[in-house]
Amino acid sequence: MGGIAVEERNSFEVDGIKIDLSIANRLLKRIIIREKQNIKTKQYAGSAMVKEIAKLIEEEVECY
Amino acid sequence: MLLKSLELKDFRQFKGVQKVEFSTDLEKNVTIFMGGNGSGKTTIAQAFTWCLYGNTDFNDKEVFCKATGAGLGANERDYVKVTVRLLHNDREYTIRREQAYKKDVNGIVKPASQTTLSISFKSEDGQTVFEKQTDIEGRIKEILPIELSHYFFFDGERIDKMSKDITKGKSPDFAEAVRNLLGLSAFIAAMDHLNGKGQRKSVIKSYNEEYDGSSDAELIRINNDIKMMESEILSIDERIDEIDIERENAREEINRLKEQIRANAEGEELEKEREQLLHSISNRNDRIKDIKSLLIQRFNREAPGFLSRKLIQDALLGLSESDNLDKGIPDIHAKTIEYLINRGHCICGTHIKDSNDAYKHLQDTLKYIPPQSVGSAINNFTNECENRMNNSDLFFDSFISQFKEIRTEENNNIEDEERIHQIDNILKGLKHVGKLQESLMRFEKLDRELEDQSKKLLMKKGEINSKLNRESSLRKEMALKDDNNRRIETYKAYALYMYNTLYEMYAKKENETREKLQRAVNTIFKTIYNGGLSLSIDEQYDIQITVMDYNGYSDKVETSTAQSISVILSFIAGIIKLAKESTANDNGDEFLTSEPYPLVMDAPLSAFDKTRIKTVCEVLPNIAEQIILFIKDTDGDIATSYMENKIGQKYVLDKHNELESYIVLEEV
Repeated sequence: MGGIAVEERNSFEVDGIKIDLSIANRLLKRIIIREKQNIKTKQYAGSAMVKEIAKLIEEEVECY
Repeated sequence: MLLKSLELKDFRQFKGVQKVEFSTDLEKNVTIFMGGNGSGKTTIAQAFTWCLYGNTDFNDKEVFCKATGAGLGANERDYVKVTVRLLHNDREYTIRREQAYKKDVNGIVKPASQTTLSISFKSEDGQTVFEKQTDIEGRIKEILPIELSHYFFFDGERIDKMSKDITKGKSPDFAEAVRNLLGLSAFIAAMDHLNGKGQRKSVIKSYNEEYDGSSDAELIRINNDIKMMESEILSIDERIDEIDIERENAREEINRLKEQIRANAEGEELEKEREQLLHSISNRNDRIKDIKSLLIQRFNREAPGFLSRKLIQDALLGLSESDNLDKGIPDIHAKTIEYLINRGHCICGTHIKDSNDAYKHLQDTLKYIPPQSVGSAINNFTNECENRMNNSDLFFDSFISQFKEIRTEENNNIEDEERIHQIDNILKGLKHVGKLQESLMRFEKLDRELEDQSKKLLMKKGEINSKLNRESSLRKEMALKDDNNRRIETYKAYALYMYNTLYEMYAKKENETREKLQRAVNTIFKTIYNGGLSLSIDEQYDIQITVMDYNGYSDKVETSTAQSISVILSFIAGIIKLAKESTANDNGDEFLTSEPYPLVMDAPLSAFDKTRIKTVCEVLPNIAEQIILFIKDTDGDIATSYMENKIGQKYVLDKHNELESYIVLEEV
């Protein structure tokens, strides 16, 4: 995965909540791709992009 | 962004509709405009700025063609329009700005409306889509932020200001614009959307708002407390940011004042020199007065003798040749004769009686002896003449010597007065050091006060943060008991993790990109300038220029015009090079996003010698995807010969008169 450092560990704890790093890193990549697309298309305004990212997080985490 | 065409309608001296197509050929990527002075080279370059940002660098802000305006009748209207077609992010945009003008009854042509700007593009299904008016500003900022426009639309005749800007004084927006151009915009946007500062919406803020505290009064209280504390921290952060800017401004002012004080310290030295010079002049004037007085005394005393030397000499000569003038008896006075007459007989024994011959002879002799003796008078005259002659022997030399002394002193005074005049002129431009010192102390005090404020705010923030962490843990504990809140807490944890990861990656990537830019800029600079200077780029993207090849010297240097142009061209060419590389996607970095940019250069070659013109002409077309060059006809022939294989389009600007120019396409 390009410029992102893949954590060797599988999980990480944030404020007592376990983060699955494979999900988090996949999410990161999806978010950046979505941002790059949006920079080109300007499809979403700032607040709409916030909703889009929240949706992406929820999708990935729900699957988990 | 690549420029495809520019259409002008009655824009300044370009009367009617005139259009140019720019070369977008990857090999022959140079479009060249040639013209003499006043033919409109800068006008065409400025037409881009007017179209995109609604402004120009011209003093006359009215852009409507005066020749067209002259042909309008009273109350008749017409309009000026500039249309730029460009490719940006694989989409062709048409950007158009126009403004109506009207001639009033007095024959004056005035704007009849504000400028209007529209942006349209072709959608995938071929339909023309117009950007919403609310989105236009953002789109222009994305295509080419105004902070960078002066670099991409490079104006060689305004090099001084750019040179100062590039080394110091750029706004934070400039650094952000460069970062975006270098492909970091997706990072910046993602971080902003995950956990942006200020009042803007963010994923983490939205999760904070989604906590459901309806079932638990305690949770509601904690939520409210947390919101309050977050709001307080936000205010503190904002104030700290403000303080940082205020301190930055204060420190800039302090540095500026210190520089001024250093420069004005010379003023104090000059004041002292001026005082000394005035003192010397006054002393010399006293001396001149004394010498003049002595000179007059000497003149009165010796000049008559000196001036009458010839007369005296002639008189003495005449007297020496006229011995018979003296019928007197040497050393016999009138009293001697009177004594003999009264005694009645002479020394020789002859009787002297009234009317005898001896008496008559003695009476006659009285006429020729002192006091009425001619001989004595001649004697006296001769003595007087000799005295005067003797006295005036040294007169001429002494007079000349004293006169020279006066002239020397007067000349010294003139020199000193000229120096005083010079000093006065220098002092006029300098400020009073005392006042500068006062201002410096004021700003230093302000800086200290701001620093104190900042420290206090940071302490307060630390206290609130500790409390906030306690409350947040408590909320988490309570929330985890609730399914919905637990889910929100999980999403938030992911968002927070990603934000922190992106933040670290961004910092690293930004640093790497800046170093890469520095290397690229230096490589280009060394090719163009070929001197012993080195460039470094700081976090604000300000450029520092240092001497490399002078042993022991590593300070900043002041640059010549040619060096300044080389620095600016290298900087912008470096950005273009990196942007182009990010676009090519051959660096394997899917996180960077950018695109190629053109370089529009107005009069960039004027300050260069022939060797550097050749280098610039060879180097830049190989770095930038597109070059648009405006040059005067004298430089044009040289540039054309050096770039022969790279020129895709060539135009000549034909000046008909001061108010009308026409763009003529030339065969390449």
